[in-house]
Parts: sequence; C-alpha cells; structure tokens
Amino acid sequence: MRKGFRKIVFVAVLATSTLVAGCSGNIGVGLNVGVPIGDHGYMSVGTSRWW
Amino acid sequence: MRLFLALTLLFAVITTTSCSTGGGPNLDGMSFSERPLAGKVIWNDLITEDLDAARRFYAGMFGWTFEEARGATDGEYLAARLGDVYVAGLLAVDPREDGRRISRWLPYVSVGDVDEALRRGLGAGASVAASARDVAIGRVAAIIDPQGAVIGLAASRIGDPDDATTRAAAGRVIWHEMLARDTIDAAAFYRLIGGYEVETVNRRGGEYTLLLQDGVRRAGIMERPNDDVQPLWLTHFGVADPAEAAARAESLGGSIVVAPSPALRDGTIAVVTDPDGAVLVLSRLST
Repeated sequence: MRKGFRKIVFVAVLATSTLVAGCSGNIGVGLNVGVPIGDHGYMSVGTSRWW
Repeated sequence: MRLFLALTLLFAVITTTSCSTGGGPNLDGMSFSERPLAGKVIWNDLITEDLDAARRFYAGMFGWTFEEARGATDGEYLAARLGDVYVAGLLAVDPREDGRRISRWLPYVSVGDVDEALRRGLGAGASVAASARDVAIGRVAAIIDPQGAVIGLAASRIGDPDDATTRAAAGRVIWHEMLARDTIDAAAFYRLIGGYEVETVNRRGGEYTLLLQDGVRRAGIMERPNDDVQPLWLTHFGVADPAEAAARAESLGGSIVVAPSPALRDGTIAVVTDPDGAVLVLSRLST
C-alpha cells in the first residue's frame, strides 16, 4: 500500500512539473520593437500648448 | 487495477487544473468582454534595457508586484499586478548596437483582426515595428505610424479587459495620448486602424482630439508642444498628487522632464522618465 502511495506521489509531482513548465499562461505581450526614442527633454518647451 | 485508476484520475485532475491555477495567471480579479472592444488599449508593455531597475522603480511608484510570465517571445518578461489585476508587462531587451535608447511604454490597441489592421496601416503609410505573431495574450503586432509614433495592435484570445476591470485608479494606466505632428492626419490614420469616432474639443485655448468607441473616450491626440518633439504615444498613470509623485520618481532613480505647473494642464500632470529613460505621464485622478 505504501509503495502504491509513493507511486501516486511520484507521478503527481512529475505531471505537475511537466504541465506547469509547458503552460504558457495567457497574459502579456512582450514584443521588442527596438525603435529608438527621441529626446524627451524637448517636451519641456511649449508646455502652455498642452491643451 | 485500483492503483492504475487512481493514477489516471490524478493525472486527469492535474491536467485540467494546472494552467488555470498554479501554472497560469490568476485572472479572478479581472473580467473580460465577450466581443472585442476595438479601439481600446487593452495592454501596456514597458520595454526596458534594465529590468531590475524598472522593477524597483514601478514597485516604489505604484506598489506593483511582479510575476515571471512565460509566453513572451523577445526576452525575460514580468507581469505586473496591482491588487488582483494585471496592469502591465515589463520586457527586458538588449541595448542597440548603435547605443540609441529604446526603453519605452508601448500600448496595445484592440483590433478585431491584427493582420487586417496591419495591412490597413501599411497601406496608409505606416511601417512594421514588430511583425504579427501569436503570443500569450493572443495575436499581436506593432507599427510605426506615418508620423513616427509606435503603437501595438492586439487581438486577445481571452477577450478584452472590460471597463470595470480597467477603471481609473492610482497606479493604473488611465489614459493614452499622442503628441502628433498633424492631428488631423493622425486622427484619420487611427480611425482607419481602430474604427474610432473622432471628436475635436476646445479646451484651455487649444484644440484636443478625442478618439471614442461607442461614445467612450479611449485616447487623445494633441499637437506636439514644439517641432523638436518626436511624435509619440504617451502613457498616463493615475496618481493622487502629480508633484509628489514626480518627486518620488526622482527619488527612485527617474528624472522629471516636465514638472507640474499651472501652465501645464492646470497642474494636473507631470512628465517623468523611469531610471532607463522610458517616459511616462503622472496624471492626477479626477475626484
């Protein structure tokens, strides 16, 4: 009986590890667009035009 | 035989529950629309060259917690949570060889069909920033619009987070706004991509263009404050006090680009960068 219980635990751990590792989830994107940003410092000029 | 049945049953239970509980994100605090909310920004990614610094900064700014997420194709990726809602993603990227900085916030607009929206965008003068592909959330792409602003397109496979889930609150993304070279051209382009209704309002002595979806304000377009500003999409985060939040950003390694002042939208916003140079707007929540 104890041997059977061990088998169950072993398979459970193995199956959980396998499935969790293979689960990609379903949240987030994660694309690198790699496009350079401009100089944000220029935004401080003309602030009265932020309607 | 009994042992075999027990093992089979156990395996079946684990198979059906692992991705929705321990292995996948916990979406219990979020609700999703049954149909795509075309034109709504449904996700925001920070692209950063310094993930550790970003993690510390946004945890300190907004109280976000982070989970490692699988499914991102372009590097190490953290999903940020505020309470029981996923609010953004943080993607680690390598620096460009030419040394030009690429850290930025990138909003993803819901479109019914990413490939079709991409085709329309390219036909109207946009170029590809990231080609269409399938990732964790669904199908996505990113474009550089005809004026040079970068924006993402997404078709979620689990539905779009509804307006109750994304309601304005401190520490959440609350608005998106383009600083455009030509507001009329920009509105026409985004109408083509997102199917928006376009409305121009006069406020504080100037014209502000609203992009709406079924009467709901989804984003804004404003003429850039001067000709040296590269057209871009700004991501606004809700705060109680922009001045206090800007000071906090500075203390956490960021920098203040535009300090709050009466001349800047009546003191309701501050423009800052995080430690790696990604720009964000700290926007006072309406009371």
